[in-house]
Amino acid sequence: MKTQLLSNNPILEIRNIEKRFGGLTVLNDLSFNVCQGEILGIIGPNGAGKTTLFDVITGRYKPTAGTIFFKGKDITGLKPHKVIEAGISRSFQLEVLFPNLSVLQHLIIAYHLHTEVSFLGSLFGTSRSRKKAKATEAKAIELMNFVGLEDQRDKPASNLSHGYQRSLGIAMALGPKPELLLLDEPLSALSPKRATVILDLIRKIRDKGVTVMVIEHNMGALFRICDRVIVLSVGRKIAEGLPDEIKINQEVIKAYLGGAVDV
Amino acid sequence: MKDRNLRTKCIGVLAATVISFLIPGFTQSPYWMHIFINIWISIIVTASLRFIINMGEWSFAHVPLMGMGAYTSALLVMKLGLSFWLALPLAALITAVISIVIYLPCLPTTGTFFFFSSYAFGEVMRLCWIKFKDPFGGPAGLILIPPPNPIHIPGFSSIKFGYLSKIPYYYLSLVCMLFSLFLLYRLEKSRLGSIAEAIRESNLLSQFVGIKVWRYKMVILVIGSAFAGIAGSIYAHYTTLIMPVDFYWGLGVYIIIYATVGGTRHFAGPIVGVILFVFLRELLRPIVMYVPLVYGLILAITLTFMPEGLTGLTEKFFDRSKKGELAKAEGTNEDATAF
Repeated sequence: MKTQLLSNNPILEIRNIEKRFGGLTVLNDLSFNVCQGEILGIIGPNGAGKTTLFDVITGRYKPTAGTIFFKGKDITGLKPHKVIEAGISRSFQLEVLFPNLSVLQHLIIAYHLHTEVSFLGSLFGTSRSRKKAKATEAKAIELMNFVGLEDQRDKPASNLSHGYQRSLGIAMALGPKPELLLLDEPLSALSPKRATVILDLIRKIRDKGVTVMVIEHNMGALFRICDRVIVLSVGRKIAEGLPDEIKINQEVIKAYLGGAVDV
Repeated sequence: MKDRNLRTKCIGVLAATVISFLIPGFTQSPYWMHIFINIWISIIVTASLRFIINMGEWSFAHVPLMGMGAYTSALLVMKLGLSFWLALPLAALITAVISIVIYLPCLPTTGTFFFFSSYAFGEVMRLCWIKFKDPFGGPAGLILIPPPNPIHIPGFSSIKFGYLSKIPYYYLSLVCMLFSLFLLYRLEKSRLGSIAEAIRESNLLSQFVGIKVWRYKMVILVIGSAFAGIAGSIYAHYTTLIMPVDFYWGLGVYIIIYATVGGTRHFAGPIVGVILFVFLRELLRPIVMYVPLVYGLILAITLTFMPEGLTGLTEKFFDRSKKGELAKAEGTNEDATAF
């Protein structure tokens, strides 16, 4: 199996994760590995638990059972800011931005983790802290150019078009310099042309050495960029493999076309 | 363009500072001095409340915390015999510490719930002053709080604070206000300010860019409360008597009205609001029973027609020409990138 070749070097290991909200089991005994440097697609019908999986990994929710290892370290149930410090960041399904702040301000805040500024220095504007602020701004501008937002620099996020907002959302996730990036439906509600731009961006991010996990409903686009795909249905993993294998997998077709799924 | 804007701003601030220092040269009537002292103290309270509001949470415990500063300072001077000049920073410090206790249970809540839980805990503190007669004096409060100790400057006659002359108080409150405004302004321009903005705009995204939302919220609340403590301390030694009823919830509402009508998005907002409303109250002296009605009407009109407040309005006015250009540029931009 080709898939085994890839899983030699896992960056993220998910072991028997379970998440229940009251009586509702959203993730059920889910285990898989994410390999260093791959683009892993996650697909599944609505309500399959894809976004909840991201929420559990990034610390928004604590899993009911199971463990998550990131680079060999146990990160189960850590607070979001700890998970980000460890090197995992995420984008959101709907545009979660700072509506009244400009693009540049967004990215400066996203770099917040990497600027060590002494409190008094920034309070009185010493030359050292000003130099650091300049350096942060330069980095933010670099990131802005990387995602192609240089023309939108001073516009507030609420005035950006939908496609640019999406790019900004991804840029925000890149700010803390993650090693693993989780993208939640980066292509939803985008025009084909803009979708290609985002796909190119995802490839560019991977080429920089960042491992990417993508949730997406747009199969055609997803299969084009993914190295591997995992299919979830009702909180369980029903298939895992190369895009070409998934396309012809009977279980997957059944889940999507509404066949009987035994739970 | 930006530099010119900055220079006009600097000149404006400098001119306002010089004028405020020269006011006692024009009038020394106790009436006007009292009004101005009132304004300076109110500006400290309102500006520090705006510092908290900037983070997205409206605190109703701010005025009781100012009261805490007043009580702390008065008790330190009366019971422990400390000098006012030591009690002032200590009052700020102790108020900041107490604000941790007050805000800790409020912190899990946001929005309306934060507003009301902070009201509840502020009120608990106020009721403690009524309940515990021993240090706080019960409903009658504390009387005969000594005025600040005289300042001796070698070569000049010493500056005495007392009931007869309000001018030393005028300069005391003015200097404290300018000092507070300077610190608050620097804080807002520092990294803490941009983190506060991020938390206000989106709590969720702030968490996921790695901001420790809880900790920063607490830091901002504590710093804001320290300034309320400073204001309270000056207030106590100026009026020389404080009662629990001085810090009731209604005053909190007034402070919020000052900030809202002045505009909370702009640093000058609370200053404009306070000056406007204090003078308005003096104008309305003949119909004093209708003051809350007038305030309420002004608040309603502000919220309906200029939700950004008065300072937001001027910004809109000045930016109109600039915005027109921007809209034009945007138009062409949209065409080029239309998907």
